[in-house]
Amino acid sequence: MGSPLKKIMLCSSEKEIFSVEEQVMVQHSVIINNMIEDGSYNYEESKIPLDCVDSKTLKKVIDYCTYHTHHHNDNQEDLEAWDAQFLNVDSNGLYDLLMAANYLEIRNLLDLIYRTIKNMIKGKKIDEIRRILNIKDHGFTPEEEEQNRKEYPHFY
Amino acid sequence: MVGSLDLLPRELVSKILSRLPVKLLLRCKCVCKSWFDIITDPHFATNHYVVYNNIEEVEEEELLVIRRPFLSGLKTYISLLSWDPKEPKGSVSSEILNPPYDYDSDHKYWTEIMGPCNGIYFLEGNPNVMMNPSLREFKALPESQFTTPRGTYSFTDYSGFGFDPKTNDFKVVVIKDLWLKETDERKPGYWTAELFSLNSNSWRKLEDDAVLPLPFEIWGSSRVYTYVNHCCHWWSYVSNSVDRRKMQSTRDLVLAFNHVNECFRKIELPRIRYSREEEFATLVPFEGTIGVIVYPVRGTEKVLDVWIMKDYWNDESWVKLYSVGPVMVVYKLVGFYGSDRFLWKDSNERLVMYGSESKEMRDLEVYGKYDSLRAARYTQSLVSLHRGNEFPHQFVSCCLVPDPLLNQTDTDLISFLLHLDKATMCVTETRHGSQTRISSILFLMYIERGLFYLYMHEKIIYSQNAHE
Repeated sequence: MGSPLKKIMLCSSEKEIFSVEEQVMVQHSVIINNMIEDGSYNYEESKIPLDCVDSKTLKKVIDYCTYHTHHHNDNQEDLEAWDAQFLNVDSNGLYDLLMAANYLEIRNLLDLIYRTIKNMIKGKKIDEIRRILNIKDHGFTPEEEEQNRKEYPHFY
Repeated sequence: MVGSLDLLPRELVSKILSRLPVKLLLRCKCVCKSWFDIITDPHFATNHYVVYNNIEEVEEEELLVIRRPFLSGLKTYISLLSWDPKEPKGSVSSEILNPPYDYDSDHKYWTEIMGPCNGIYFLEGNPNVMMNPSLREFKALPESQFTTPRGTYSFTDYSGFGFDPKTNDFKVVVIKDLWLKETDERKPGYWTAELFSLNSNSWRKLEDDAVLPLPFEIWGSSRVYTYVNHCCHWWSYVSNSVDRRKMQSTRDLVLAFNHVNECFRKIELPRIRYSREEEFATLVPFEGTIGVIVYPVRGTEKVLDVWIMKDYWNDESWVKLYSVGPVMVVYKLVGFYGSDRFLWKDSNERLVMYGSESKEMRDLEVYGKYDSLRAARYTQSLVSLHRGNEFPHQFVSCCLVPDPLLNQTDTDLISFLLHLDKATMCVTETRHGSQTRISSILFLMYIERGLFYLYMHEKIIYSQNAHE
């Protein structure tokens, strides 16, 4: 485990550099923890390239990890309220976060996103789910779609 | 920027979907083609079962219960009970799982429910059935064509249900006791074993001499589904004494059948109870291994001892883990799950759940006459019984209907009873001190095997306190 004072550099897809407390990222991201542990990160010169994470998303991910590192003793309700506020984003923002959390292997953020998606679509009709998740092309042939609508009219 | 869900990698979408309940997934199948492909993939179904039931927080506790209610004739009802574990005083909702039409009669009955095994349940009875309630799949197994050896007959079937991941096959093993026709005598070692495979949709004989670890005898009723490490188990014993009248002289043991290599194994136990007349012992699954719960036969307040085998592969590793109680009115244990959830029926044949850690006791509001009540934890599953080799009529979907015995308005209940033509109803007014109460009381009487039963259900229509 790294010392709390040390900082590490993360580089977004726009080549913007973010300096973050090592402890914050090590605690949350399996990938970064592995890099630090196996010594492949050089504190003098390394910048961890995150080519598939844009600056806006990376900033949010860092916010999440920082908050959860410093507030992990808060009561559950407060944390849940903060998480809900944090994930109050549009579906594009949510996918970007999901991809980033998956890439960095941030398990509690992934869990939070999975739960959020579940709550977004629970009890919704198919057309609503498509709209909420911004699914433009459902990929069914017109015949298949017609068949589904006939077979499960209560889903639509 | 991903922009749209369609552009997420399949692996990630699959991860999202494995966190969703089956009901929602059946709907999600229609959302888009890529989801349809994932959800209908058998590998996804298996993976979903593991992920969903291990990671997702349980929002509802659910049980599958089979019973013959006091009201109906011989018919076995399959009910699905659910309740919110966070609300100790909350109500229990119940639905009846209706078997397909051909199996919905007094002549079809089930005596044991085994499962879940990948979300599939086995009903032992006439006929034997495999079902996935989440997918509404119900499959009656064909009857075995084997006959007993010349000069013998079989009295009892002891079934074991399991899954072989190597061949992706659900199997049922049945051990049958054999009796001599001529003398009606039982000779130790007279057993025969058969195995049903879902993939082949047929029965075959297991070479009894080669595989059965003789001698052993199996204890009868009230089994809790104990499926661990691909093995099903029977609570068994051997007689120590040659003198068969000396019933005390038996030694408990566990008989196991491995569904992958199709081998039997005997598991030895230390002496965990003094006598079978004084103490019941029930074999249960316990966190990846097996356990035995021992409790007294007599009395109204009982202490339950939980013994477990710490290392499943080591017969020497039995320890007494903890004791529970004394708790009131345990008549017979019918289920155990997690590490502290006991299901028993009380002396009124009513199902009760007890969490020993939370000390919470919950009346599940179901009854079953004549030792007919059995319960198994319900887990949702996408795992299908379809193997592509069955005739189309073998699968009929069953549907859930509200249980008329629970949570219904008075009119529903009355019409249900009157429909059975066995009920009488009266309205009474009672005063307790300053309180006046008007209630409807339903009486139901019937006679079964020479015993007279009276079922009474009181429902308060009106209640008033004179001081108010």
